[in-house]
Amino acid sequence: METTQLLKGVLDLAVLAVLRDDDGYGYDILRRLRAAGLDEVGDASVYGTLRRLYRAGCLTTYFVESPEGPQRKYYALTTAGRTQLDNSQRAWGRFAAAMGELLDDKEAVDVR
Amino acid sequence: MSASLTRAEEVDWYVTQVRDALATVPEHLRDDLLDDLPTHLAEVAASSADSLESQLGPPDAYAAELCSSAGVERVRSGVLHQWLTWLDSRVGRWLGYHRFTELLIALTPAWWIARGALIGIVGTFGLSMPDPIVRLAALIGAVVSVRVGRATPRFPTWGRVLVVAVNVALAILLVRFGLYYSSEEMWLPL
Repeated sequence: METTQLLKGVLDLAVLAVLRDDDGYGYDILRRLRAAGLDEVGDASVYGTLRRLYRAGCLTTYFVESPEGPQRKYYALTTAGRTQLDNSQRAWGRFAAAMGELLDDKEAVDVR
Repeated sequence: MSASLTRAEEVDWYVTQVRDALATVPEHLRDDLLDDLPTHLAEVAASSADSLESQLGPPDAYAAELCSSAGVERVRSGVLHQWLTWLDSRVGRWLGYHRFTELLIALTPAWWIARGALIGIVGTFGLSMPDPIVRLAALIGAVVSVRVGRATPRFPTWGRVLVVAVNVALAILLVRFGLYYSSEEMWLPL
């Protein structure tokens, strides 16, 4: 299974996780995802996910004046978003553990 | 395309193309999806000298990926379209497929071969060439047709329209051939 297939299922979790400790604007979120190792994630996929999470009430936005140009739109987790993040993270942990069992590969289970 | 445009013009062009690709999406959703786009494209444009299309892919592919990750349906769900979709799965299931169009897609290479062979045969048989030449023409026609078939998605719009017109004309010819030869009990010299 290529990375793109795996990514589609967990992009929500990845985006929420990126915003856990720091709010971010679109391009910045993309950069952080890629810096973490998800370099195959498409720009459109990230922006589409941001809009879907926003419409679902997991994210809120605010504008920040930028010295170099137009104001930037920042995304931040809502309370519902944090709950979703915690739930998804636990679900991911269980899933990774199960896959680890199936693959008999203990390294796949190391998820915190 | 982008070599002759400034970066700002290129961004505007890309946004317009994506907007057009989202024409069937309800307006409030479309505006929502497009809201971040100009800023994002400006940053992408600033990050590298490459064209937007080479960095992000073609606008309609971008629009498709945007819709799919945003959970937005692109297709206009008119009554006719819904009925056709229903018919597609109904007929498909009779034949053992999820959708009838799956079967049609699977038959595409067979069609390429058939049309190429037909052109070869009609061309040479019509000119009263001997049988070995006709057979060779059928073979060459089939090979060329498969190459064309594989390359067609990359053709410009007028090229694709031409291919569709040729396909329709050949399909009609094929049906007439079939009817004529089966009624006269004559068989092609193959």
